[in-house]
Amino acid sequence: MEKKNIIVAICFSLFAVFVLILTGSFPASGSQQLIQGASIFPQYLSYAILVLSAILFTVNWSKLRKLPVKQKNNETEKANNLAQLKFVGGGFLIILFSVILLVIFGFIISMIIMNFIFMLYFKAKGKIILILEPLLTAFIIYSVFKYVLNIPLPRGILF
Amino acid sequence: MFEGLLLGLIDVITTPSVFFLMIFGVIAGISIGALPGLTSTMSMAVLLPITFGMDAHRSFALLLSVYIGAIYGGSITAILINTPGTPAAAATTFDGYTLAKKGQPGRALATSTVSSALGGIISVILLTTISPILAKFALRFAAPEFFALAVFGLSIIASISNNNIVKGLMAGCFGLIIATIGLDPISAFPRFTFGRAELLGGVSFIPLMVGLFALPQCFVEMEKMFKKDNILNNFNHSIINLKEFFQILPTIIKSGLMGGFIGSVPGAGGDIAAFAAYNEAKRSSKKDDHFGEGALKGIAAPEAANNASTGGAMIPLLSLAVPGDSNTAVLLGGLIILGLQPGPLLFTQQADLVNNIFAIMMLGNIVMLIVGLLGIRYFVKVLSVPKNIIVPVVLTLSVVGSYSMNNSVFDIFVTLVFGIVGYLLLKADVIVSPIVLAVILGPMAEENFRRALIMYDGGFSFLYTRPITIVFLTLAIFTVITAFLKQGTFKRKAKKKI
Repeated sequence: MEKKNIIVAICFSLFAVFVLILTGSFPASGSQQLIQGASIFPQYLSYAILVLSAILFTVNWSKLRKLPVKQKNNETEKANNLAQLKFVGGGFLIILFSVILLVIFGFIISMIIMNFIFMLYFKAKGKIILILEPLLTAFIIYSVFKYVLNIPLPRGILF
Repeated sequence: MFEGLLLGLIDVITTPSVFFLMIFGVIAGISIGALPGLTSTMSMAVLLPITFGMDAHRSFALLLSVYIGAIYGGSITAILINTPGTPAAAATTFDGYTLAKKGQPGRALATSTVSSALGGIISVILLTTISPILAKFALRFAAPEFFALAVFGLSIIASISNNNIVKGLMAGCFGLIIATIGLDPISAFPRFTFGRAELLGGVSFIPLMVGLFALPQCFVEMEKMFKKDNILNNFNHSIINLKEFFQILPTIIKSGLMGGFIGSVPGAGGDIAAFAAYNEAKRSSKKDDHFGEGALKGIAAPEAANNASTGGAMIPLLSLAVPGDSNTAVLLGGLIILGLQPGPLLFTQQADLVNNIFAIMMLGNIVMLIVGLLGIRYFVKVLSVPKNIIVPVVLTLSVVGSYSMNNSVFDIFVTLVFGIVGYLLLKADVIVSPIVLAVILGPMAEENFRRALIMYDGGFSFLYTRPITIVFLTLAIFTVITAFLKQGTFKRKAKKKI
């Protein structure tokens, strides 16, 4: 937990610094900075994140140093379950790939492909499910949105 | 006023077509509200064209039933798959999903159904009895009051941060920065848009919410599939008993009243009401309530409040022709299409319609209660569907739900970005609800703070000279102090156990 919190503190600090750098390019508003300055709110919030990150870092750093070495290693093992992360990462890439396909081929084709790849990825048993799930999911959702809710779904640049 | 409600009830019950439209509306509302990404406003907007050929009574029977059903429907997916169907159901995930995960989805859904219905009924009673007083109270809100209300809402972050307030506050600040994306409310300078026109109006809330809730949940389910760990395969269908009902009843009444009051403030909708009610229920909870671990009161409070906000939002609409939220804005459109002008004159010139509106809202909640309770056994079947099927379906719905808000593929990418952020935060034990709350309240806080400064020539006296502002700010300070004290007590107890 302590190691996780330290990573959280560092990541949030980096985010706050990034925001501060970006707000540096915002126009200044002279004496009316608090009212008219577009940068003032994000800057104050970034400072708040930096202060909170410093608290989180300090508290957990001192705790981590007191922990026995064995426990430190166990926590590292837990945090770095790489195989599991790879599986989730693979899932994310399938979604990303399908969204890119959606721009080109439209909703139905891309979602059929996404669902089919997921079925294979999740090792779904039975050919009927493997074929029916992607078709039914895509067509039912498309029909509900298009004909019942009257919401047009992307048809892609090819159609 | 109660005579009017009674007359309306008799009229509605004795008109079968109105009653049928209500049942249809509630079912349609529940179905649409349960879909991640589709809000109650969208469900009403979708069904608005159907009402063009109807008279005012039938038109409102349909629209109000959809409204009531959709607000409730959002809780079903919040409880079953940790994906709130509507923003108002975000607070229901805290205890609702936890209880479902423990194998008791029926109890969670029953609590949500009963609380939603009773919350709605309480708000109708408020609407019929004290709507003129509440409307006057709501109209006294200017920029300083809205700022103070937003601060009070944000202070809830401290109590929903699961005993790590620092991380919760960091997530809240992160959410507030996300809320600053887009045109600056005063100077109209584009902030953090990176040249993208899609970001000028800010990050769309629905893609963000779908990204933070639905996607990380799908990734967690993927992890479980990888580990071959299916906790939710064993569950019972039992619902709550009478003893449990009477235990949560005070929470429902208190949250219903809170939801009604907050809903009556223009700009403060069911989402704020739900978080505020959850916070209050948690603050006043006893040791054995176990908030965050599947407490029935933790489900009852947000659900009673968000449905009570439906009646609350109707108060400024009917009394003053001021829509309290986007839902009532659609209803205002419906009234205008029918050639009616809401406001004080509506109560004298269209008294029978006003009576019918009260009756429809009352009966709509009862119909929702019946439909909801009958539907529980079918809703929980979602949990029987194998994870390798439900995950792709939820992902498809997430993609389409994100897209449908603005018909924008860009919003799908926003969902994906926040999906990764949400998953990483989940892994780091950072709760995402503060981000959602901050994104809801951030624009309200910033804009009204700066407007208040303009009103007071750059001075801060509005913080301590306006009674409503003082009340909200005091409540905010009280909430934060209570949360810190509770965290301290929790940590001391945890140390003692070790």
